[in-house]
Amino acid sequence: MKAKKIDIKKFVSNNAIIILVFILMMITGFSTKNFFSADNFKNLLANMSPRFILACGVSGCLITKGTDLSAGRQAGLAACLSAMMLQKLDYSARVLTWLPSIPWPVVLLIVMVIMGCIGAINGCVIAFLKVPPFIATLGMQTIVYGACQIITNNQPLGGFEDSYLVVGRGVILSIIPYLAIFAVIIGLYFWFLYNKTRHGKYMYAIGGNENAAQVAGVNVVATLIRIYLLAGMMYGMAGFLIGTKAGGASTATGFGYELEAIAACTIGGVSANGGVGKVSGILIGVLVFEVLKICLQFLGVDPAYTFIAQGVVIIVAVALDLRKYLAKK
Amino acid sequence: MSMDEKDTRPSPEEPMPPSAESPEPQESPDEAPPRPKRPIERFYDKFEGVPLKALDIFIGILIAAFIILVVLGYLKGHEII
Repeated sequence: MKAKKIDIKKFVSNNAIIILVFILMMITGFSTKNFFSADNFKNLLANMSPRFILACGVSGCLITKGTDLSAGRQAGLAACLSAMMLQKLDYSARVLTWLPSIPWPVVLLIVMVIMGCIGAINGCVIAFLKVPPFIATLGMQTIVYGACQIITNNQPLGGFEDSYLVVGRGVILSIIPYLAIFAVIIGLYFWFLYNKTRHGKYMYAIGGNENAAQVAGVNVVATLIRIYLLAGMMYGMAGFLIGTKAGGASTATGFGYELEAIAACTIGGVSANGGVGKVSGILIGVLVFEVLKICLQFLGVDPAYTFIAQGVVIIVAVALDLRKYLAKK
Repeated sequence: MSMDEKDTRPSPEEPMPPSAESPEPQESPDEAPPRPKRPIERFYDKFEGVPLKALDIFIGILIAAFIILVVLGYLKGHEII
């Protein structure tokens, strides 16, 4: 009986946030109309998908004991670049008037390559120059924001082509948004990458003990650059999807998304200490955070209190991570 | 890495300098060299003296604060307060 009690305590301790949000979800579901509805489920999936992709990108940085504070701004820049390349030809406020119509998959590839290059720069600064990831990515965050302001001339962007809008608003079987398909593909890819490839093993090895990994023959520099490059590509995809979902883009797009992504990863078990993290955990973390936001919205909670509540959840996530670290010691 | 660039990471063959805070155990040649602690670990290590029970109480207080915030936000959102 005592052993069972300890297991329950450990379970509650490890999953406190998930249990809390689950209880909140039940209360919201039974006290409000339409919470448990197909429309709300569709909305949840649509909100989760780009954030999950962003969190997958950030997770590699966290697993190797780094971080990427430029994620949100990179996604914002990607959204703005996508918007500029996918505006209707006859739109009066079209920015790139000289550009012919480009298919959206080509634009997606272009923004992923551009953001991948920015991610690679982050990786090089961190791996070669040994600048702490917090500082390197904080600097890049500001640079990307400035670049976005210059490129867009601080004007909001809209007037998208219908083919682009369909990506963000289309659904399959009346309930599964197209955005979710992107998220599923990325999730499966990252699961494969983290669990079945050498890159994944190197990543966890670096996160566990960088010196030991290097002694064992892991090319730490190349792996770190690959991680940040891949993260950049994910921010590019996330930004592309955020733009189409919102139907518009501006320099404010993506603001704060990196903190949400880091919080979601932490809630999902990706430790800030590195070496630990699963794609399923990332998915749970993003789901918990989005469900929390939707619950507070449905309950009619004042928006200011929503922000404070989200902040408290982030602190609880870090406190639980700290508790796990100290309990292990 | 080019020949001109200095590798500032500790060499695996060089012994790590003894820590000022706690004595390092004698290493066997087969063990992985101890790694320098990252900022987040150094931050977490500051809480080493904190009993887990106190941390549990802190987490409990945060959860209670979350519940109070949701209730207050609900009341404010519905203009009850």
